[in-house]
Amino acid sequence: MKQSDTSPIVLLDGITCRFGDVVANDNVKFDLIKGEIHALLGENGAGKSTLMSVLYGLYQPVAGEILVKGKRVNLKSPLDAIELGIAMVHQHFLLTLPHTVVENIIVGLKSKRRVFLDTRSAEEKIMELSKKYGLKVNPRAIVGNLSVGEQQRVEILKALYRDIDILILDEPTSMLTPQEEKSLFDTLQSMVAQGLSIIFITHKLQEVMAVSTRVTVLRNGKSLGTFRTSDTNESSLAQLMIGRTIIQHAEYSGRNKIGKVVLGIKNVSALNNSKILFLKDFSIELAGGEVLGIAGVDGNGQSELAEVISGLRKAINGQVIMDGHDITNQSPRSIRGSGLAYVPEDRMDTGLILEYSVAENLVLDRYSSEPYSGRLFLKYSDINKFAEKIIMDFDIRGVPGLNFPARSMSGGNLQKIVLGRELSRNPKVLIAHNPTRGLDIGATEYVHKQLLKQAANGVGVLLISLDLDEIFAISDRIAVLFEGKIMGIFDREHANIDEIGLLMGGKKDTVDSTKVQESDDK
Amino acid sequence: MTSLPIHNILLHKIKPRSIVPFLTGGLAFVVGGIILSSAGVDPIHAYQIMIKGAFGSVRALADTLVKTTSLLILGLAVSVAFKCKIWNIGAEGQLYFGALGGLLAGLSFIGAVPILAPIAVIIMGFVFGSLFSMVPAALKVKLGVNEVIVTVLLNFVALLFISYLLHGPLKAPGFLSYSPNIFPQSELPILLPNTRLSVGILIAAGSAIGVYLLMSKTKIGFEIRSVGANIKAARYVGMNVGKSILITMGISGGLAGVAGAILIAGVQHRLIEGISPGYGFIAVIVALLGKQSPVGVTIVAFFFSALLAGSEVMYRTLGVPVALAQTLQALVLVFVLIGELFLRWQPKWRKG
Amino acid sequence: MIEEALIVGIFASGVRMSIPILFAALGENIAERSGVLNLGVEGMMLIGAFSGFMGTYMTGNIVVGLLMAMGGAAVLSALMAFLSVTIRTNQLAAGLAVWLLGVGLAALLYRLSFGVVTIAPSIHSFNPVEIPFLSQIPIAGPILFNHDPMIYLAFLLIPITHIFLFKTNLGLKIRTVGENPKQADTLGVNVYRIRYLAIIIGGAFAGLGGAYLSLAITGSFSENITGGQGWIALAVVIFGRWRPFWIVVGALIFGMVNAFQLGLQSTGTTIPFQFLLMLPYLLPIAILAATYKRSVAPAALALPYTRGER
Repeated sequence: MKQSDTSPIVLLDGITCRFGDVVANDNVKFDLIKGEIHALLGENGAGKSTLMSVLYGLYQPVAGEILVKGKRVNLKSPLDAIELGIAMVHQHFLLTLPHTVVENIIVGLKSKRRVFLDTRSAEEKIMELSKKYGLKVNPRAIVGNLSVGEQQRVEILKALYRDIDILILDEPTSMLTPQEEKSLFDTLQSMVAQGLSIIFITHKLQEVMAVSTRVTVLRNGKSLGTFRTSDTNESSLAQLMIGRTIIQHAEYSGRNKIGKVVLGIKNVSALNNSKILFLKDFSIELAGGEVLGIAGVDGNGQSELAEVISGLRKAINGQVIMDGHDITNQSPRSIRGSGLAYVPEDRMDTGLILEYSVAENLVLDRYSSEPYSGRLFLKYSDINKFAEKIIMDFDIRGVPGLNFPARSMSGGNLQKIVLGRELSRNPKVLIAHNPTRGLDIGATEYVHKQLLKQAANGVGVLLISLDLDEIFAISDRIAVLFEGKIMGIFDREHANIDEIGLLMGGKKDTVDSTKVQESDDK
Repeated sequence: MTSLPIHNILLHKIKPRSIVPFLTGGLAFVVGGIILSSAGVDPIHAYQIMIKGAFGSVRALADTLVKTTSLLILGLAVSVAFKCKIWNIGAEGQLYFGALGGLLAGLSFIGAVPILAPIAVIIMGFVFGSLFSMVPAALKVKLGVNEVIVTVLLNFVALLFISYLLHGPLKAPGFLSYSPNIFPQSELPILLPNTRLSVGILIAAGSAIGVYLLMSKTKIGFEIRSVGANIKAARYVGMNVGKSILITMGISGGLAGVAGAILIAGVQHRLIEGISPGYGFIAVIVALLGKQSPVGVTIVAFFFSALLAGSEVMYRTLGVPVALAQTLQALVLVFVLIGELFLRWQPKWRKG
Repeated sequence: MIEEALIVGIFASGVRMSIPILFAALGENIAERSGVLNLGVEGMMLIGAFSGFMGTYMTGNIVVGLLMAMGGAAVLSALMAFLSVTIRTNQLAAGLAVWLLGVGLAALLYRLSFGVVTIAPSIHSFNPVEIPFLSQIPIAGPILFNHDPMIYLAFLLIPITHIFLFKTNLGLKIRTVGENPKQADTLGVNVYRIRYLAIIIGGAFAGLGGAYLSLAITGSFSENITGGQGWIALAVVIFGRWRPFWIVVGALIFGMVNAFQLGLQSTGTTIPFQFLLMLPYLLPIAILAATYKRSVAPAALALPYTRGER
């Protein structure tokens, strides 16, 4: 039994949050003890972010009470939370890229010079905090020019600058390399040593075990209990989190025979939207029947790669050859016609037109040819017939009716529409970019099954994913993308997650060269 | 929310979505009434005269329908562009160019050929309007320039150009800056004797049907709607977005040009400055209120035309400025936009 | 020399003609920096022109007129703010509605007040105020320092708006709201209130711009007195990359082109005057075409903000 003060610094009791019909938090109890790192664990949609948004004043719960430092409080806005010493670092940084670090940190605060900005004393304070917690940053730098890790430091400084005692971090490692992760964990430990209390939202079991003192598991809006991390382990947490025993991904069992090369990318370079070189002399080959996984931290050229192959982005150098035909910089329409299918990263923004019906979405890529239309007019009866077949084949559920927008359907079913459309093209090459992002376990397994089925039929599948588990689950070969170049390619049997993690972070020299196939000479 | 019988009927039988705009739009007239009475005019009396002036006699109704001809076609023109998320505020200028095209056809030798002549006038109206709209379209497609400001400024350019022509090369002999009359064979047949109601109204109705078929049943319409709904997705599936934008503006400008040509061939029989009292701008409100459905556009166009016709009579009888009509139209839009707030909350009521 | 006098006259005239757009564009810049695209500028200028005229006509006091101009335009922009920020309707639609409302109201109220008259009511416009010493500088003096007080006010507004936006706390809040409203919100900035403020300030400026047209340039009011200058102001904001200094340059260019084409008309050129009048409208189009690709707007421009929107 500890003698130290264990009365919670934060207590959330009986919190219930509703958005329309959806109950995001259901009578949740959560407490935070001073000086601890408390992990909030759960899958996508479990209610973790919502709960913390309540604590941060972004949402008001319909039931329950909040006690901070022993007092009941009513948090009507983030300003209230900040005044109580609570700050939140969001998963997707809330930064203004064209502004400096200082401007990003001090916006909204009163300054000593009354109406005017006081950047000089702000800079001094930032440098102090920077030293105290080991968060190196240049106050005058333009945030848009900083690396992801540095930007996260700005986010944390934004919170620390406001003299807070309680810091909430929402999925802080989702965009970091393994090395930046470690640096973050060190920072967290030093913050706690200085008296801060930290809440750490995550869905990654490994992180919970690595850094937290206690962990609370949420599932479907309900809390399944709070545990001392030392009293539990990954599998029990996983069971709670998911609600059933994890189906271990089938051990990699080798694959059917792999055919000839269907996609060759040779020395391709491309610029991103800010005109910076994002793909640098990139080369790789994909064979029919194999699943080639491209691993890497977000922002290293994945989108640019997919877009160059599919014709949505100009390759300023190099060639893309599909099944012997040079398709470099051709129109998306003609590349698709040559045999490419592409499941884009953003199903709602790019892959579908949500105001259209399921049927219309299914023919987006083929409406202008027979039998779906004549010379002028669309043939809706043929379109609907096709749609019905695909809906059955792909088990698409929740279809609101032939003429209703697809908008109301669930993420998993929306992705099935995209899959149904793309896979029914009988492609030669299939690009799947983060195909299971935001999907629950059932939908994820379904998608993986479909991808493997395509490979079994001889399709070359290029799987670009931020989810290393997914890459390891279904890839035949794994390539690592860092800053627009391939750092290494491994056969699945020889792939080692630590090495790959290092490559993802850019460290090339620690890799054992005998295990790595260099990418360029086929 | 408990469901009283009345609530049931109101919420489930009559779609709130269609009623709310009328209720909120009606508030515009309340505001208009306040302005009138503060100027010493009895609003009820004024509105009565307005209604009579729009519907009270065959002549009044004909006048309303004549205006509907213009507003409907223009409303369709603008709403086609809106469907593609293109903000064509240049319908007024495109109308004038179309009128120019119609005038030239009507003055040329084809203009003297019976039956062919009015058809030629309308077609040239479409062509000229369409060509003029290619300027903002090309700027948008090739250079990514936002079309709102360009189309608005081009209105001024068009009007100035027409003014130059009417003071110069196209000026008919005499003091006034009018063009010569078109050949009588180019004139659109009048449907109702002693009025200005011509075949134009049928062309307008035909346009509404045509736009409906185009947008909901054809491949081109599908592309236009797709680009408007989600341009990223349209590009991703391989649609030629630039082509769709050009086609959309071409149709939009062309329809506006047809409206101009009808003003020439059906109403004025010559080109004058001010042949359109700002119809192209009213059409923007019509398109926004009509929610880009041809039925909606037709209803709003008719209603606004009635407003205009009635306000002209109000001016002649009571001296109330015609600007009241324009103010009312803008107020209707404002109140309907405000009313959308309630429509967005409506699904919550339904679940009760 | 006669030629020098003519050129000086044109430039001085150019400065005057740039003022309405200068006011309107500087104001619109503040609104757009907060993330709101206000297409209704033209309507606000018209309301400002009318209210300013009415106020001065009724009281004989120009200051009253200016205050009424700012007030009238501010009311109309409050409506714009209500539609854009509270109702969160599409900002382009709201702007168009407000524009047409401004046009209609200004014309309606004017006609109701004065009826149909053959000689338009007019007022005595500003007297130029020479600034001692500075106005004696050859060439630059008469161009810049021999104007009515509103122009001096406009000159002052240039550094004022720059300092306001870039050196004050409120300015930083406005800019952050326009780039990343969620960030501002989570740091306790009231996004809605900031946007209301920015829009209303912008509208008041536009009202001043309109008032300058009726009070200083013409001395009377007519329905078309703005002639599209509100729209040109929108283009100038884009050309000026949302920075006050370049916006002023843009406004001056417009003013000079306008003065130039008027000067050309008066010298009896063979070019039909309509084509010369087209220049002020074609120029912004040309500039937009030339500079559009490189413009970086405030990231949240024209996007409605809802707290907690997923």
